[in-house]
Amino acid sequence: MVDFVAMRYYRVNRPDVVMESFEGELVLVQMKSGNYYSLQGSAPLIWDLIERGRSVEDTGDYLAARHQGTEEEVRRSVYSLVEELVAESLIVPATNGSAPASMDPAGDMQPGTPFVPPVLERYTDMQELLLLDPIHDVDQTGWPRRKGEGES
Amino acid sequence: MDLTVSAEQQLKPASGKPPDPAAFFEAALHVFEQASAGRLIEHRYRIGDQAVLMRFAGPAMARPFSRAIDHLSYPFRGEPDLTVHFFDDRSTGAAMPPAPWEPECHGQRGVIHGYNDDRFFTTYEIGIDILQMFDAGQNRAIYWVRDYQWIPYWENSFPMRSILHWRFRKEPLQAVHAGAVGTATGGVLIAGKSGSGKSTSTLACLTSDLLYAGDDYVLVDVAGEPYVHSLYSTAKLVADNCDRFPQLRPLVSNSDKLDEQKALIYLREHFPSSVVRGFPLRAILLPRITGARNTRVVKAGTMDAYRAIAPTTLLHLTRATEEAARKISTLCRALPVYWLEAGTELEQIPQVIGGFLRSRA
Repeated sequence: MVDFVAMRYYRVNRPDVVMESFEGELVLVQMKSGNYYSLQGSAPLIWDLIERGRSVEDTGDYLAARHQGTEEEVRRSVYSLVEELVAESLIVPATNGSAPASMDPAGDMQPGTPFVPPVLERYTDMQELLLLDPIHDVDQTGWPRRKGEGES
Repeated sequence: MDLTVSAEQQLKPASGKPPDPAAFFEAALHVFEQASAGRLIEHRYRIGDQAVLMRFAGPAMARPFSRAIDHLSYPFRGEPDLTVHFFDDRSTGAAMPPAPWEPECHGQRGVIHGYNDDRFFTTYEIGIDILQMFDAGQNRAIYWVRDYQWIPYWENSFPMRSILHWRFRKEPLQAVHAGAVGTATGGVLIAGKSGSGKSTSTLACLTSDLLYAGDDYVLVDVAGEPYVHSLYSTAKLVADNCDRFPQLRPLVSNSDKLDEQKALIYLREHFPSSVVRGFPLRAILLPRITGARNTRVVKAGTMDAYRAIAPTTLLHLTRATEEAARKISTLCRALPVYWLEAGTELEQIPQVIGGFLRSRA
């Protein structure tokens, strides 16, 4: 469980994460795990607010103040998404207040907009490309080999 | 599964010495110069708009590595934009200096920690034992293997893929996991991850009037009007496609090894007038297998193209960065995107693509 009290600020896990935004959807590629992700619904906005330096709590406040729906539901959605993003190593803890929290995202919505829950879709079909083979020896020429290779 | 390399592992110096990629590069290049004395073979190419010189220490690696890019041969004069030195120890009697890094420095996809920075790009792939090193300061590269006989067949199908990616990182050029077919005045990029029907759709066009720029990796230029440059004239067929295209079976170069390898065809040797250097791009097609008889083209979105191209390309290419993602994004935004709903009647595929291109001319 992520400790939201102690780690309330996060940053994008660059350079391991490569991202691109299109028409309300954000695609993230986690270069170390080989997974890639699609953020939809309110997830791109939550990502944007976190990236701009807002705390998780402040992000929840921001959305709760601007959306229809119970405050509790909005906050729970934000916390749950952040927890997933941390678990997937897409964001990592940052120094508190590392970026100005006053910056609002482009296209700021008006109060009363219906709340669309965040969606994080995870794709793991590319992971096999990145399998690491840590088991190797160094032979007499000074170059590594897999265990068992060249032993005959 | 934890695939990460700890910070301690990344920073561990070899034998207590700080990493010195420049010194190692020069030492390796010195071995090449000795190995190639009296047996140097040079081939010149134009890849994209770049002049590339391939230097081989003898014939062992020259033929297999030039065969996939013969169609890009270009006898340029003057300084190359990239010079790559190929050699192996076995055929030349050379002795590469020992690896100057500790085993813990081996990271994902062969990246050697401590030997990758703004200037140097270094990978060593354990198991296939291939060292690739690029010096961005002087646009020189080394491709070394202990024994040329161990080079896997897929390396012959896309020689220098990593080195070209590193060289082009600051150019408006980007290697992408996609095929491309079309006409001299315009064509389509055919993109999708393995199993999407990308290769099937591209191969189905081989016996048509459409020109072919690649079926697995091509180079796109995103400065201005998108343009696709051919990289490799090879086709790799999985077993299903060997069945779908029985007319291609006699052309397979490794037919005695199909129990462990994909079928590899050097298309330039069999379809010399079809394989071209490139053409302007008019659209991106994303194949999907429907099971229906007929093929049709259906509007898709920019994001669909990005999802089809970016993850697979970025994860294939070592040290791909946000620069590469941005070039792919630029490409996807610049072109209309369509689903290519590929039907079971394969001869319809080139007809539909040809008709599509004529309608956009």
